[in-house]
Amino acid sequence: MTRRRRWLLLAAVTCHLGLAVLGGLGVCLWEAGAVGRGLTYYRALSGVDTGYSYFAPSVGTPPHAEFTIVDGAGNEVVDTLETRVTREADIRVGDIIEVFGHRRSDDGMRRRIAVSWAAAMFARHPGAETVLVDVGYQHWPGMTELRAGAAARWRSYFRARIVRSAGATGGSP
Amino acid sequence: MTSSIAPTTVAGRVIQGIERFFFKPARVAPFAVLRIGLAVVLLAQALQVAPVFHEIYAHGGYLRGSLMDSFAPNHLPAVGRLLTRLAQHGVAESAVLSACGVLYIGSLVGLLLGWRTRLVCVAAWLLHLFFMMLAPYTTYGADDFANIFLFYLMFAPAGAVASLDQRSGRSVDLRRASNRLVLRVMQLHLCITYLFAGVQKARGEQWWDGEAIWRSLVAHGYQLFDLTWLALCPTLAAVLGWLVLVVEIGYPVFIWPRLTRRPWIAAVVALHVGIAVFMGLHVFGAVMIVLSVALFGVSAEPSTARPAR
Repeated sequence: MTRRRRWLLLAAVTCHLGLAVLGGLGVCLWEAGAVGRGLTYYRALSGVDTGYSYFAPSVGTPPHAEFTIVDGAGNEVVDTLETRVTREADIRVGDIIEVFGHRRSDDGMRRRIAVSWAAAMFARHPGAETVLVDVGYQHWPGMTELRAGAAARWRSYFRARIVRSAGATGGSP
Repeated sequence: MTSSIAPTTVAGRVIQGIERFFFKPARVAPFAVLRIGLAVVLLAQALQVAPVFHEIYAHGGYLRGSLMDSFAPNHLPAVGRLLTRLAQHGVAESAVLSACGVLYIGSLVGLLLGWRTRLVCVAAWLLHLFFMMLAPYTTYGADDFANIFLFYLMFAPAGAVASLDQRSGRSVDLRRASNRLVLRVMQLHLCITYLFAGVQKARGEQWWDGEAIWRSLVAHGYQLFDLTWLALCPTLAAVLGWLVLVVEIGYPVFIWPRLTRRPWIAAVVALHVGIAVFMGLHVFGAVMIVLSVALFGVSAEPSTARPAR
C-alpha cells in the first residue's frame, strides 16, 4: 500500500468516524444541501447515525397495553400483545406499544393504533365481541418514597372499547 | 510499510506513530471471532423473533395497513411501501417476507461457517437493514450495533480463518496493513459508543443517586426478578450507577493499555451480563460482549500468520 493511498484511506475513515461522533451528538445533516442529504443516507446505511443515549440521561417507564376481551356470554379475559414465548419477541412488541407516545401520534393516530391492536385480539380470540383497550404505565415511586410507604400505581392515558362489527370475522374489528 | 529510517523531528515521529497505529500489519483473528460471534447471536435473535415475525413486519400485523409505514425514520424511504406496491402487482407480502427471512437466516449461517464470506456478509447486512427499516419502531441497541458491525465486516477479510473459505483455499490468512485500519475503525467506533453512552448517562441525576439502577430493575417491562429490596439499600444502587459510569466513560481510556485492557473487558462483560440477566436484554448484552471480546480481547499481532507478499 503506497503512502498516498494510506493517507487517503485515513482521511476517509476520519470522516466516517466524524459522522459517528455527529450521530452521537444527534446532529442532523439533512438541511446541509445535497451533500448533507447524501451523508444522511450514508449514515443510515452504515449505522453511524446511531445515538448512544441508551437509558440516558434518565430511565423512564415504558408504556404497556392491556386488553380485556369480552365474549358474547360476558366472560372476560385479560390479554396483552406480548406472547411471553420469547423475551426478544416481547421486547420488540413492547417497542411497538411505544409508538403510542411517538411524536407523530395524535389522537386520531392513537385511535387507529388501538383499533389495529384490537383487530389482533379479535383474531386471537375468535369468540370475542368487544375489546377494552387500556394503555398506560406502571408508575413506580422512587426508593425514598417507597420506603415511606408509597406503592406502585397503574396510570392509564388511553382507554377505548372496540366492538366487533356485525358479520365481521377473524381479526376484523 | 513504515519507514525504516528513524524520524528526527517531532512531526516525523507523530506521523510514524499514526502510520504504525493505523497500518501496522495485523492478523484477521479478531474479524473471525467477530464474524462467528455476531452470526451466533443474530441467529439466536432471529429464532426468538420468529414467533411474532408477521405480527411485527407485515401490514396485517400489530400495526395494520398504512399505520405500519407511518413511523418511518425522517428523510428515509418507508420500505413497507415497497411491499405494498409489490402486493398490488400480485406479489404476496407474506411470500416476500418469508423469502427475506429465509435468506437472512441463510446468510447468517453462511457467515457463521465462513462460506463465501464477503458475499453472505453483504447479504446479511442488507437484509438486516431491510428488516430494521421495515419496522424501525421495533429496533433497539442490539439492532443498531449489529447493523454497524455487519457493515464493517464487509470490509474485513473475516473468512480468512476458521472458515470454509479458508479450507477451500478461497481466502488466506495474510497479515495486512488494511486489516489494521479496519480493526482500528471498529475499535475507535466502539470507544465513541461507550464514551457517548457514559457521558449521556452522567448528565442525568438518576445515574448519580441510584434511581436509574432502581428504575431499570423494577420498572414494568424490565422487572424479571423482585428487586424491590434495593430500595432499602439506596447506597448499593448509587454505587452500581457510578460503576456503570466508570466502566463506560473509562472505556476509551482503559481499553487500550495492556495493563488495564483485560480488567476493562471483564468489567464490560460483567456489565452486559448484568443487563442481560436482570433486564432480560440477552441479545443486546451478547452483541456488546462479542464486540469487546473480538475487537480488544483477541490479538491481531502477527505471530503465526504468513506475511503479506
